[in-house]
Amino acid sequence: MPVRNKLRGSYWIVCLGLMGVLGVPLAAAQQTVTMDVLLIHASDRPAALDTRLDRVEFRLRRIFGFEHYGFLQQERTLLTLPTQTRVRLVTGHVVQLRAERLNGRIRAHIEWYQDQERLVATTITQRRGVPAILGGPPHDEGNLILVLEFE
Amino acid sequence: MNKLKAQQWMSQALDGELSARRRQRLEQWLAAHPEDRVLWDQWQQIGSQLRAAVEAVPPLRSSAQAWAGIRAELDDQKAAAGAWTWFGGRSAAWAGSLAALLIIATGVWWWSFYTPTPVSTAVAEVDRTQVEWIDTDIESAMPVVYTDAGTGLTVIWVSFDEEKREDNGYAG
Repeated sequence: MPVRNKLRGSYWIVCLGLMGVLGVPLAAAQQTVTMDVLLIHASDRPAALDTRLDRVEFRLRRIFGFEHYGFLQQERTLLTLPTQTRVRLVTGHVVQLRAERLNGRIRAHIEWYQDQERLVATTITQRRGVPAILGGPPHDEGNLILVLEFE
Repeated sequence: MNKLKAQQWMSQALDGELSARRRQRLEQWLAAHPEDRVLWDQWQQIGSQLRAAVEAVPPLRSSAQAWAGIRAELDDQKAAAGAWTWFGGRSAAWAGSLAALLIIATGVWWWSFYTPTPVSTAVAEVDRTQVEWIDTDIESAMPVVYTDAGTGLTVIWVSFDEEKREDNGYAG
């Protein structure tokens, strides 16, 4: 029946419209990530446990042999990929980052500076929710550790 | 008197409604009519059986008496249940359920407390971070990349030769 065909056509138009309306923000959401940068000071000086590091400290203790891990800074930034950003660390260091989406992962080019000197430069590809650990720069009788995670 | 009249008087006599005079006339009729005498005897027999059956039924109780009986019966049941409620009554069922709930809650707490959370589990091979390259501008520094077996996390570490860096004036 013509009326029924019209209704059926309208149904599909509404469905396609909904898919479009829902699909656009979904695609946009997939391009948006939260970058979590956590700066930690690792040393062998005895100190109290820092509860702000509860989420990562047990992992760091498995990886490294330091006695103490202290919280220095945490930065959470919403990024729309591809993008580039810069994080100023409380230690005076600067971390520059370029990030893009690659095959469902995030490809990040990271440069860690002390003044004009590039301490570390690397390109990594990581999944959301899996932190990457960069470290080594000496600081205050210990070393700095940077935990970088995209969520 | 005819046969029909005799049977009406027989019925009235059985119900106690026949006058003495008619009762006398009925006796004369029955003496003269043996077939009606047989019928009279049968009716009397049925009447006595019915009266016996009615007498066997206990007398009806009043509603107040009935309710009092029900209340007494309920009280008896409650008293009997109360005597063993801690061993198998409704309270025991509640107590058992509560105990089971406590055991389950304790188990869940124990499991969540002593088993590693998803965060602490090692990162799967396919999810591990891949490092394309690493470099440093510091001559005395040596970059190292490794994946920790326990956590599955990728570590990019730069080891600095402190003495050489101090010679070069690095403040750290």
